[in-house]
Amino acid sequence: METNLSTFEYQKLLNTAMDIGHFLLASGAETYRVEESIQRILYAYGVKHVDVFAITNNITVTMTMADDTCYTRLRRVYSRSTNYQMVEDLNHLSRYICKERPSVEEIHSRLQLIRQKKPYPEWSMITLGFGGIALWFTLFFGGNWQDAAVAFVAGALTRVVFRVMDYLHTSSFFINLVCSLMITVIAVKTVQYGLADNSDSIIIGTLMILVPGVAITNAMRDVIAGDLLAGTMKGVEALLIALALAIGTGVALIAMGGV
Amino acid sequence: MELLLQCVYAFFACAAFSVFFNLGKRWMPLTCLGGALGWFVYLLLGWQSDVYAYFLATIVIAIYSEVMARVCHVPVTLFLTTGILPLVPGAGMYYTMKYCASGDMALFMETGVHTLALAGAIALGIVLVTSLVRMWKVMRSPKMFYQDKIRQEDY
Repeated sequence: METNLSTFEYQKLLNTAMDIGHFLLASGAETYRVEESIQRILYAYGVKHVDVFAITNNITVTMTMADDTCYTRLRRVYSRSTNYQMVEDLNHLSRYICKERPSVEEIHSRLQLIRQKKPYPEWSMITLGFGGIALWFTLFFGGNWQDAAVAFVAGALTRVVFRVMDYLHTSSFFINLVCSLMITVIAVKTVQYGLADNSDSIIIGTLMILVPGVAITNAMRDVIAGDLLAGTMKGVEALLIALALAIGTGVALIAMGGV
Repeated sequence: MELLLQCVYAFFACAAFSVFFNLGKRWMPLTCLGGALGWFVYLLLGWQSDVYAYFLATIVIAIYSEVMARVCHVPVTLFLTTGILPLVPGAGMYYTMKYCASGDMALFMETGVHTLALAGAIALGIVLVTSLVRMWKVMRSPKMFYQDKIRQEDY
């Protein structure tokens, strides 16, 4: 494997590989994919040995060069969301890097292009995304079209509340609690006023937005891959969210005598 | 007819979730098809026990995801997490909480254990398929994995 990178370029390469790992982790990729991507990229440029340890909010990499000098980087990942477009693009990029071994500058410019890709606009996120999830799942769980319309409004409102509270740096436990409380109040009140028929369907359908199905699936996949620590963290996160939803919905139901 | 309609709802629910997940428009129909397919399999097996039907439906979704990921050259997670969503026992969780709030302990225990069993069935289905695919990958190209192993121990 021919390598003609200077020490400085190797350090830049390490930083770029960390960036790729960081964005993968922040967009909801599995832990083993993050570790493997960084490892494969660095090995492709002839690094002697690479150690990577990633958990849900932290990546540590040490690379050992041919002359036994070591470079270590630690990256803390603060905010995580699900962005599969990013995962797909970064996966393609790291495959391309391993195959073609482009210059560090080229990797950097390609990474910038991926980062600049716009996600879906906010209005479509509110209506098609959150409203849509609530609408279709309410129908799915046996509601009629009136229930679905109420759920659509509740789902869209959930997005707004979610964004506002996220902007105010509220903890995710409290955000989920407040959102589930709001959803339950909307569902029970509209049924009381005769606008909809089935409050159970509305609540279940709209809560599907917040139910940590993906977190549980990813936790399972991490545990299978042997990343027990990351898997446990995601599992605990899912349990906490479920707990918040149960508390929020339960409190609202008891307060309004819906039980 | 009512049951087929549920599959259609599952399809669109997955489509809405893929907007939430910022999934590329190219893969949207395929991922949503996975969700509808899983629910269809569950309905087909409706005469079996609920947990068993969930288990088999998850296996079908997981195999579909692995195949589609290979075909489209994208990570498996894109298909798997979206396809599983209609099976997530949201209704079970809600009723468990409701019985707990109303103080009906017998029903609370029954629904809670059933919901846990459903979640376990999903997890088990994913574990089974993912582990088998890993074994198959190693068997197909043992040399590559042998080299990887050397790299990890070459101090």
